[in-house]
Amino acid sequence: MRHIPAWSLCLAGLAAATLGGFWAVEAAVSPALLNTLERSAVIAVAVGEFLDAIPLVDGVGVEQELRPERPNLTGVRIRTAAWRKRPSAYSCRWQLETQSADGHPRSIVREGRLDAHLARDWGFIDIVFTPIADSAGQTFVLVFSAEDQNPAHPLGLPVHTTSGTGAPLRATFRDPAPPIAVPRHGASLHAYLLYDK
Amino acid sequence: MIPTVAVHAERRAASRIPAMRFGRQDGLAAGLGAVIHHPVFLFLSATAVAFVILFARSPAAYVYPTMLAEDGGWASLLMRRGLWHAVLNARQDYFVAGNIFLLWVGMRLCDLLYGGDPLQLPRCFALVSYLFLAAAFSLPVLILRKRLPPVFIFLLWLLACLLPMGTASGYPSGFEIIGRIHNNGYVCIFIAFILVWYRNTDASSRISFLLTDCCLCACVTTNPMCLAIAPAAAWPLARELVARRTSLRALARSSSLHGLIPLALICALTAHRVTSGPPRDPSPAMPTEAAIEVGIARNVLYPVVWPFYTSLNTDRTLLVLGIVAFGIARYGHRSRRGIYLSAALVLAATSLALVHLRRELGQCMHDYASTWPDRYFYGQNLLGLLVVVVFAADQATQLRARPRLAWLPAAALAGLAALAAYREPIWPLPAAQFMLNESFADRAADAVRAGAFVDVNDQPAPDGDFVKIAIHPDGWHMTLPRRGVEKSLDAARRMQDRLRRRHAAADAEGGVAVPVNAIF
Repeated sequence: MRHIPAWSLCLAGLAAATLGGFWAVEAAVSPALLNTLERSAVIAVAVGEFLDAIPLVDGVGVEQELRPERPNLTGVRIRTAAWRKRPSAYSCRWQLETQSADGHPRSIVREGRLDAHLARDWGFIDIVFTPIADSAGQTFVLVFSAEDQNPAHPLGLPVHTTSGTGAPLRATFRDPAPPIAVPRHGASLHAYLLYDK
Repeated sequence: MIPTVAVHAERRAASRIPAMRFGRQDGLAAGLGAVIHHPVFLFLSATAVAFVILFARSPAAYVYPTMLAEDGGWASLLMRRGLWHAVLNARQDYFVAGNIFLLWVGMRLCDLLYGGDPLQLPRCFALVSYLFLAAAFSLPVLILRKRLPPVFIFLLWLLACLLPMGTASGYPSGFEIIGRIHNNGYVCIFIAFILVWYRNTDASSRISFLLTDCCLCACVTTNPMCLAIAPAAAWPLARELVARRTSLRALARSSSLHGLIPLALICALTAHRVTSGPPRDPSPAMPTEAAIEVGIARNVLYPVVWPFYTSLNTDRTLLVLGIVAFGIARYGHRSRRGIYLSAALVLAATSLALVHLRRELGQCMHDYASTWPDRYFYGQNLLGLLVVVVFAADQATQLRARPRLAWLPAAALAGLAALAAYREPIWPLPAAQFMLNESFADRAADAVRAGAFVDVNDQPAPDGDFVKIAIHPDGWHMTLPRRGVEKSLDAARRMQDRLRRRHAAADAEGGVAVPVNAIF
C-alpha cells in the first residue's frame, strides 16, 4: 500500500477529531439530560387506539381518573389536539381531586389554569404541581373545564381506548348533542404521570 | 494558444520539483495530499462527522441507556441461541439479518469497551447504530463521485444527516431510530438503490462487483422492500443479452454475472419468506384520503414538503405530486431518466406495500397533523432526497452557461438543510426522550429484586441462568445472563457506596459535596 505513513497520520487524526467531537457533545448534553432524567420519573398511562378528541368549550367537562403507583406525584403530561390550528388564547381550569372508595365527597388537592394557546396540535402539555408525597395507591380525578368560554379554535383532549389497565375517563356535556360519543368504561386520555424522584 | 496537453505536462513537471528538492519530507506532504483527497478517506471523514451529528441529534440513547423493543428481544435470542438461529428466527415474516449482525457487533463492542458488562449493551448498540447510519448517509461520497458533482454529494450527505424526524409530531421522534439498531434496517432501501446505481454504471473490477453484491444481499435479507430494487442489478446484462445480442458464453465470463446468481437466490429465499409468513392482522383497508397521505405525502413528497407538511390535504398533496412529476419530466436531464424512473417505481412499490400491509399507519397520521411513525418512511425519504439532489444537479448543469443563476440549485438545497437544522435542532432533549426515563440498570435491578429468573427456554426457574428484564415499551422483555447482571449490579452498588462515603466525608469536613447519580 502506498503512503502508509500518510494514511496512518490521517486516520489517527480523524479518530482523534471524532473522539474529541463525541466527547464535546457528551459534555454539553449530559448534565442537562441527566439532571432532568434523575429529577423526575415519567410513567405512561396505558392507552390503546385513538378514538376522537373532546374540545374544551363551554358546557364540557372532562374527568380522568388517575391511580398513581408511586409516591411524590408532581405532574401529569397530557396529549393535546387542536384540529390543525393553534388554539385561541383562552385558559382552561384543571383540578386534581382525591376520590375515596367509600363514597366520601371529593376534595381538591391541587388546581390551576392552563393557557390553551401554549398547546399545539398533537403535542403534549405538562401540568406540574407541588409533589404529593403520599400519592401511591390513592385514586385521583383530574378535572378539566373551560368554564363559560367558547373560543374559535378550542383546545382538545384526544380520547383513546384503554388497554385494560388504564384508568377510566368520564366526560360530561351540557348540550343534548355531545361533540363526541365517549364510551362509558373504555376510554382514557393519553397521559403520563410525572413523579419527583 | 497553448495546447492543453502541454499545460498539463508543465503542471505535472512543476509538481515534481519540490519532491526532488525536499526529498522524504515532501514525500509525506505529497502523501498527505493524496490521502486527504482519496475517496475512502473522504468517506471515512464524512462518516465520522455524521456520527457526531447523529449522536448530537439523539444523545439519550448513549448518555442515558435504555433498551428499546426488538433491540432487547433480538439480542436475547442472539445470546441464548447464537447468530444463525437469530438470523433465521428473529422474525417469521421476513429476515432481519443486518439488524442481527449489527446487534452482534454491538455485543462484541461491549466486550471490548466494557468487559462484556451486559448493562452497557444499550450504550454499545447506540454507538453501532450511530456509526451504521453515518456510514449509510456517507455512502454516496464513496461510490457516487462520478455521478454527481462534489458540492451536491456534500449537500445530499448534509440533508440526510439533518432529515427531520418527527416534524409536527409534537416531539422529534428520531429517538426511536437514531441510536436504536432495530429501526436501522429501513435505511437499506437507500443503500440498495445507490449500490445498484453504482453497480450498473461504475463498477468494473471483480472486487467492486463482489463487495457490491455482498452488500446487496445483506440489504435484501434485512429489508424486504429491497426486493423492489435488487432485480435492477441485472439490467445491464439483460440489455447486453437482448439488445446487443451478446452470446451467453461471453456473458458467463463477466464478473457482473457471477454475483447475480447468489443475489437471485437470496431474493428468491426472501420472497418465499415474505409470501409464506404468518397472515397479517386483517384490519380494514385504508381510506383513500389516508392512503394518499401515507403513500404520497409522507412516503414520497416528505423530503420537499416537510416544512409545510401540516398545511397539506388530499388536493394539495396531489397538486404537489403533479408539479414535482411535471418538473422532473420536463426539466430533468435526459441522461438521468433511468434514475428518475427507477426511483419513482421503487417509491410507488413501497407506497403500495405500506398502504396494503401497514394499514394502521392511516390512523397514526391524524389527517396531516403528525408525521410519526418516521421509522417506516425515512429510508424512502432518503431516496426521495437523492432524487431531489440529482434534479438540482441537473439544473445546475443546465444553468452552467449562466453563472449568475448556476448557484441557485445548490443554494436552495443548502437553505433546506439550514431550515432542517433550525426546525429540528441538534440535542433538543425533547420530552419524548425523557419518556423512556427508567434506565436499563434500574430495570435490571428491579428484575433481580423480584427474582425474575428464567431458564434457557425462557421458562420461569428460581435457579435459572438468565434474568428476564422488563424493557421499553411496556410488555417487552429481555433475557440476560444472570451472573453477568448480578456482577454488574454489585459493581455499581459498590461504586455508589464509595461515592456516598466520599460524599459524607466531604460533608463532615465542610468540603464540596460529590454529586451522586443513583441508579437504584
